[in-house]
Amino acid sequence: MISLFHTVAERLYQFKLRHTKAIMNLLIFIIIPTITGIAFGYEMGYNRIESVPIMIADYDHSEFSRTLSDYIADSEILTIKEYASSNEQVKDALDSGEVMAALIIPEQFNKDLLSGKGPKLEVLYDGAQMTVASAAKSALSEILLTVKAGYMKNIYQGKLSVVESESMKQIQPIGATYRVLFNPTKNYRNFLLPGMLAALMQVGFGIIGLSRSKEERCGFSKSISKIIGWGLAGAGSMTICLGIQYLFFNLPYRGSLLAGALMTCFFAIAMTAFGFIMGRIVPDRVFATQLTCVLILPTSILSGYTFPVMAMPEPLQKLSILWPLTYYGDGIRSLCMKNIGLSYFIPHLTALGTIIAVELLFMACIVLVERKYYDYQLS
Amino acid sequence: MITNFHNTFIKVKDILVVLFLPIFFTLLFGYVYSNTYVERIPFAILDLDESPSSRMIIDQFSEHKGMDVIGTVSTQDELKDLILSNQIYGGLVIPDHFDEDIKAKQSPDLLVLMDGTNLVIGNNLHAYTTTIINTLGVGVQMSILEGGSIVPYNAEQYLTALSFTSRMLYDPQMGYFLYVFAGILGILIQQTYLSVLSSRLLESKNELAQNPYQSSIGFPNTPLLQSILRLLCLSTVSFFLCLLFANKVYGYPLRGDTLSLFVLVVLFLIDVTAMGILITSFFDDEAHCAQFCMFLSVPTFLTSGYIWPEFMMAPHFASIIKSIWPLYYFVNPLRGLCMKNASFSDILPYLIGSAMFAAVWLTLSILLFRYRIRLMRKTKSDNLDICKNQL
Repeated sequence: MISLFHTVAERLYQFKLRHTKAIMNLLIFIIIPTITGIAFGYEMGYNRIESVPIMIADYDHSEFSRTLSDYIADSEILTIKEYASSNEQVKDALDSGEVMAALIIPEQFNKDLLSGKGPKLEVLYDGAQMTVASAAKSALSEILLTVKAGYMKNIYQGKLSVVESESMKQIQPIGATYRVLFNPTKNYRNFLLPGMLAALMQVGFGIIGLSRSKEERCGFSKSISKIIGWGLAGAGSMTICLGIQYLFFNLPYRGSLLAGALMTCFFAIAMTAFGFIMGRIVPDRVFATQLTCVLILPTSILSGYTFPVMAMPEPLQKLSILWPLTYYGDGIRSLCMKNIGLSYFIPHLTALGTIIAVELLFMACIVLVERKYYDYQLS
Repeated sequence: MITNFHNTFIKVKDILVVLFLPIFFTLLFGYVYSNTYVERIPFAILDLDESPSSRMIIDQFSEHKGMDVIGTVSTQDELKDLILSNQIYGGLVIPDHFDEDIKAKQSPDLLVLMDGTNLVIGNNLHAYTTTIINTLGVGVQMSILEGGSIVPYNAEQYLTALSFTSRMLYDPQMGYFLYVFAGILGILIQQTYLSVLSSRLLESKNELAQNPYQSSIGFPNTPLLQSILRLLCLSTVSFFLCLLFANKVYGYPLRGDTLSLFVLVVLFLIDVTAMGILITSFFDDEAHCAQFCMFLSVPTFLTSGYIWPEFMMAPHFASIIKSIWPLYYFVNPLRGLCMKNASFSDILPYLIGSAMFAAVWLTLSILLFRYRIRLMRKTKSDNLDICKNQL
């Protein structure tokens, strides 16, 4: 058994030595995107924030407080983890992260409510977990407003003798319908994954560009063909990555296929060209790799994919036009969620095309300088 | 001369990467998130009523700093088209006869449209519009109650009854930097440490594999351990400097005790060392290894339970992640320590998990690394034997 293990390990090692380049390409273009895509898709299986653990400290023990607890128990967003007997217990649970929200119903709450004293409920949220706290706050506000509407209905009917059919209109004198377009369930996975996968894949495109530039010193036309060829291979890999989400994890794709294909190709070529240039100007291969990745990775934040560019300081807003991910991340998410045609992406494609053109121009300059340098050395 | 220059360059580069790169990115990302709120979100209004009430509503929306009302549109299709093309992120439709319906107490309905593709923008917009509309509603309700012969004091009591006091603990402003920084710091420390460590480990592996007839494996050896220890110290210093800069420049809270932070970061770096040894067991080329390591940042961050909390993960996913990558044991308690002043007992389960991770993976990765050296030596000796036979 052990000798079999040794033999297999040895064969694998020999195989790896012979096909290092092919293995790296396979790893970057197929294996990593596939595994990551499956892992992210599976991880975020619930799609949106739900079952947020909440604690209730009920000092009132009235019919009202029990009704309120029932409302919370019925909510999909919230899950009652425990009933607390003291405020210290609430604080400890929030400190330790056991619960992320807490509702405190004060003593004699129901009695004060009936006698018109305007008692207040206290709601605590774990502000360290911003997204969860926001979801919990919105769910709890909705529940409390529903309960309050019932209370106000009694006031209108009892004190103002308003008939039942009219009372609801007076409770809410200005109604509001909130319609969340393109992502009505506030699906977090659809919001996050397309751009995050692009942020991951762009590292691969940069690395591939860099590796190809280190293979041989080639002229301008050969460099272009390498950049475009490997860029298109990268676009194929990106398609696989998004395809996995579409086929197995219900990521929608509602926009124009042509727009998606063009955007993906332009993005992959732009990133491959960037890696290629880095490979040409930084002599040390390891340092070039590290530098390329150090320059590419922060764009997942600087491109404004999650935290929007409009909220960043002005100098960073201006810088954001330089990152291909600024156009691709936002664009591919729109294509996934909106039924939108190619014409809407002309500005995105123009920007990506301009970046590629500038990169190629830079590449031409590098080739020219290199040629002059070698000519000078020869002379 | 060239070798000396190369060695100096490598040493300086290592210090720059491990010590200064995390600090640079702390300052950069702090600057990115320096505006606490997402404000001036482009917004448009469709006013089908054009009455004093509708103009009052438009004024309220225009004056709110959360929104940038770029103007009014004439049809709902126009509004939707602007949202579709990302020129605006939301819109308000004020229906016809809005003013008349308010006066007739018919509860007219406003329609708020929001672009849900970017949830950060959508959620902020939702909060801003809800606040404005609820405030307007309370004003109208107050006048209805007072008009119905209820004294103003009682009317106010009725309207404020069943209201609730919301307290956002630890970060009342709910700023994005405070929310995300512990996670980003974890990734910065992990990536910089791993990239330099893997170079040292590969150098050592290739050196040890040079002599195929050496009897002992020689791993781990003293010079390598010293080198790892140096890196570990540098990374720890960098971690504390990042926290300090984040605190002084961007007001990131440092509520936890230093000893807990120290134990946490050292255990994490030992875990990453184990993973570094494991990864370098599979690679011979330094550049390939660096490329692979760089790929780890996004996946490990998104699966660490920091952005997508553990209770929301699909079944068994968290246990798999916890057993194959250590970031979970670092970023989550780090957030607890800094933001909440979590006690030692609160972070103890993470420390135990981290220590167990180190014990298991360090053993396995050292065994694998040693095996790999043996394999490389054997291949080399086989090749030498073939050469000798050919000669």
